[in-house]
Amino acid sequence: MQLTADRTFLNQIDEIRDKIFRITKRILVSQEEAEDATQEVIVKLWQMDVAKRNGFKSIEAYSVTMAKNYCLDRLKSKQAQTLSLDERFGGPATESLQKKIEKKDELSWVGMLIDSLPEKERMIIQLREIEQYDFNEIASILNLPEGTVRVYLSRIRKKLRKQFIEIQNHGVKNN
Amino acid sequence: MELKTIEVLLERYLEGETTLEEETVLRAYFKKEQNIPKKWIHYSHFFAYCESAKKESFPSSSKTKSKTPVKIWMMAAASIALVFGLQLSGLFESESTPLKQQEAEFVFQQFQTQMKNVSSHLNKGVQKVAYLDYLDETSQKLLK
Repeated sequence: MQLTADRTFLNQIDEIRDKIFRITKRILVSQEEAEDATQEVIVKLWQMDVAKRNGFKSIEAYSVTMAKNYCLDRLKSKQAQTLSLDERFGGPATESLQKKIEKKDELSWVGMLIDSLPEKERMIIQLREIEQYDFNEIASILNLPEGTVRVYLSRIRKKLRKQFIEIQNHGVKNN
Repeated sequence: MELKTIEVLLERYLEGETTLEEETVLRAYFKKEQNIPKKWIHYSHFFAYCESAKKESFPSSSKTKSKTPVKIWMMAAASIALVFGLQLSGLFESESTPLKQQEAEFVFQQFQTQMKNVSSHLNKGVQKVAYLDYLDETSQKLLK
């Protein structure tokens, strides 16, 4: 009984693992930290009571929510340590980001632009544009009303569009 | 005709009003279409990025699966090589022991004579320093 439950869990996890990894990487940005976070989330799921685990409507949505919460906690404890640094270098950092972006090819500058957004916006982009979740799924993962998710998403899409166009025009002027 | 529908979809997309199905239509358009109007080029970059980002997978999961058979063969080959290597070196060692010992003794003797040389030179140096001390004392006396 326990064994078959474990096996089905392993099969489920195989599919979910990559998703968790992509989401944690989007929030934490660093590859190593995302790997650690993914392992951590899977261990937590593994240690959970089988009955409780099977009680969820969607184990995927639950794991993604767990991954999100784990990463946000991680960021919070990190920010407490590095806040002063961020404040001091906040201005110049964005300027150099623009310069960095110009040198890269299109795909990597799209990634860099997304990663320079605040973590909440990064998360929404990841869930909708990359993982292609439904609005109600995103709303339940982020614990927000569906309407709010739409408003956020619209704002982020417009913001990214503006930045893309700025970079394009900049590139044209220089050439 | 198609441009018009895409334009409408893009407007709704920016407002966060498109459904997943409508967004799939947009993705498909930007992936297939060769002559994308210049004002929309950034959308094709964006959607292409999203598609490639979705393919990223957890590093170790794919590695362990695909490389296991190769790894086993590598390990077998390495262990065989190791066994042969140890045997060979073992044979050489037993054959060359007397030769190596002679060599070692010779080197040790050379080392000993060198060290003797060094120590005798050092002693000479100590004597000279003692002489210097003596000179210093007498000059001090003279100054007084």
